[in-house]
Amino acid sequence: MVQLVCVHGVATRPGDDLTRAVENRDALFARIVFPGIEHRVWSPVWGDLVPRVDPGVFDTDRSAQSLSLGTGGDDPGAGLGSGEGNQSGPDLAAIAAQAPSVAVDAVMAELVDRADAEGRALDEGELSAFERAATAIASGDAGKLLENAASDDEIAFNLAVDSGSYGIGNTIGAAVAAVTGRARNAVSTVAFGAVRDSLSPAIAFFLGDVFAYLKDGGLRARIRARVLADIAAAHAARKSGEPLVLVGHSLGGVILVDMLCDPGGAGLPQDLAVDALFTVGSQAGLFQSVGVLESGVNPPAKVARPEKVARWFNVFDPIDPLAFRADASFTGVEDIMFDSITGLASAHTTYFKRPQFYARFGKRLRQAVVIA
Amino acid sequence: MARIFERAIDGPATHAFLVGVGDYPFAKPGKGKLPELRAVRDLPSAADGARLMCDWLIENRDRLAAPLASIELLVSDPPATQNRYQARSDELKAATIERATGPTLIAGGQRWIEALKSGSGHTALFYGCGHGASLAKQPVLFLSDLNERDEPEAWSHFHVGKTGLALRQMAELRAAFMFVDACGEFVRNFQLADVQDHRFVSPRLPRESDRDKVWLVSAASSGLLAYDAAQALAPDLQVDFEGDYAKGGVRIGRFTQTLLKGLDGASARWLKNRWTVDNRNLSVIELKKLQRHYFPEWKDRTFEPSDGLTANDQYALVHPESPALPVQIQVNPEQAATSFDLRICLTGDGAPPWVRDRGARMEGAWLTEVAGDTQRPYFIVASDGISPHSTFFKADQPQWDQWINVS
Repeated sequence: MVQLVCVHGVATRPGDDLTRAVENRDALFARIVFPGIEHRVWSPVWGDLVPRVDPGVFDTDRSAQSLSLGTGGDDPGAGLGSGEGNQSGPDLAAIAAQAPSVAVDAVMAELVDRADAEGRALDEGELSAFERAATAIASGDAGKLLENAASDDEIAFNLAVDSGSYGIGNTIGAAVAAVTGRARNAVSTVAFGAVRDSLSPAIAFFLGDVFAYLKDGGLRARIRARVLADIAAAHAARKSGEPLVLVGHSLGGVILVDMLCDPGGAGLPQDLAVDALFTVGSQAGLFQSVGVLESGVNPPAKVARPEKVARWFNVFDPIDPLAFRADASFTGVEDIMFDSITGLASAHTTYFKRPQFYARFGKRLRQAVVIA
Repeated sequence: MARIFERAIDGPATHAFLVGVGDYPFAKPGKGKLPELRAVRDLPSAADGARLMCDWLIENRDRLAAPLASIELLVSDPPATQNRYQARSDELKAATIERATGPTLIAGGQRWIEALKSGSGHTALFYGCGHGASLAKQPVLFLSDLNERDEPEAWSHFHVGKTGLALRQMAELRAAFMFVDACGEFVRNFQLADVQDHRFVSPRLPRESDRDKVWLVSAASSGLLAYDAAQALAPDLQVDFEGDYAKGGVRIGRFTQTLLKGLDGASARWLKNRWTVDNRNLSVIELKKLQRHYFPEWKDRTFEPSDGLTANDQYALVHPESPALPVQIQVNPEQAATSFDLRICLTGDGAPPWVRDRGARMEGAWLTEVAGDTQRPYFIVASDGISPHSTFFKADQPQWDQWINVS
């Protein structure tokens, strides 16, 4: 059985939303990375330890909010502009013609985003479509998936999978329309207001959580204790030869690297051996470069990959403003970049909603012989 | 022509109306009126499900509690031709079948209602399969002209629930059975549109003759999806996932397959000196048990049949001959199951010949079946080679909970 410990990142607080998002993420891990492979996912939650941020601190420019598009009505995809907005930009078909995997990725991320926002589990048709998209991306066949698809209708039809369902709900069509709308609005100056509205709290949550973690004292210790408990439990649960995989998103990746750089101080089991570490949209490289991690090495000297980690993959989206390379500060880490057409504000939060991520995650695990 | 079967019956009879919608030509990319209805898949299994039900009715014409007198059949066939159901009855083979659109539904439905009103004490049977949704907690079935016209007519559908309410008010009727193999999903724009269903009979205001004599059961409750699965018509077919056969197999709705299993006798009880399947025993609970028993590979996709309307009396539907009844056997304590051979025998000592032999010692319940028998008991014998343990049961109904103590 594979033991998988996923440490969440910034701006994550316990509640129904997190529960549903974790369920959908785990369903995608099960379907795409571990089909037929026994595994258990551990998800330590530490966000509740950090004091709440007063939402009033985001309200730096009330007039800016009135400039947001406002044309989306009740369209859940209206956050970064709806399909009814500026029609002058490229549609998804044009993007698909140039970068099919990016187009497929964007639609599937939107699909998961919507399910999370609606507080529901991905249905069978959506899981099947996501699975097929991930498979196509992994094999370099994303283009075939969208072959001859010259319109949003045709893209939606091609991406949907015949799951044997008797439903007509066209969630993929809605996701395609939303992504096309976003692509068109990407060239709209009006859309910047919407981007800023969404980005400001994200940055604030990020900074708040980071400062809370980096401040020496009880809070940092309590956060590490939460994560340690699940790592230790996963380690204890594995039988001889069974793999242990750690995944840290954003600050979760920083926490993992911080603990692994000082395993004794972090209280990690002495015989802990991590088959693969994934830091996703993370800032371990940045923080090491300014010397705030427990690595015992002063910059600009590079830190070696933690001894207990056999393979370390640092995954980032180049347009994610909160993700950083790790190979400038560490040795033995493999930086993995992938493109998206998600917005600036959502780049940081959509890694676990994208087929590219699961496809590459599974591929790296197989390359590292963690799974067959 | 929608009436594909007709015969004269002296007295109360069953009149059936079957609708299989497998083709949605205006709900495709670049077609039709509403953009949100341009990615609707065709459903060969829905067309084939209606044909299968039609054959089943014709083959069981004289076993129905009220013998079969007529069948109105509408089937919209998709272009797909591979792995399709082949008609068994001569009537179905010879029939020219109309498509299931709004106008044909009204015409066929009106003929059905006329037949039901032609005498007293008739039984109505409706079966519908296709894309569906839930509207006000009741099932609707989308028809082949979905998205052909502008909104609200774009949402061409048959409101099965309202029709069931109307049948409750039909004084001439003895009972009605309505089966809907379709999704119960919540389609937002359908809910918000000012839709009008295609009607051939309408419910009126409640009055004294409104009686709970209609059992309407659908494949999925509100908000849930229904699925099809391939039937293994060839022994070498390998199950791929949840009843998908990589090498073929005719796809039929899961609800339909389970329902027919029950009607064929798996849900039979010995009542009043004959085997009977009725609405009380073939409940949604029993449908779920039948699914878990006969189709255990359907694990992940939902199977949640739901009552739309319930009857307050017991109405026999069919009297199967020589039914095979499901038997579910568990060893007590459960962890001892791997230490015992399990067999169903005609004597308590476990001597051959055995009626059923589990073959291998394994964990979990033993899902098997025996021929219905009201005269002699069956013995369940657990043997570890040292001392056999036995218990017995009478196969006059499904046996969902047989335990054999071995401690």
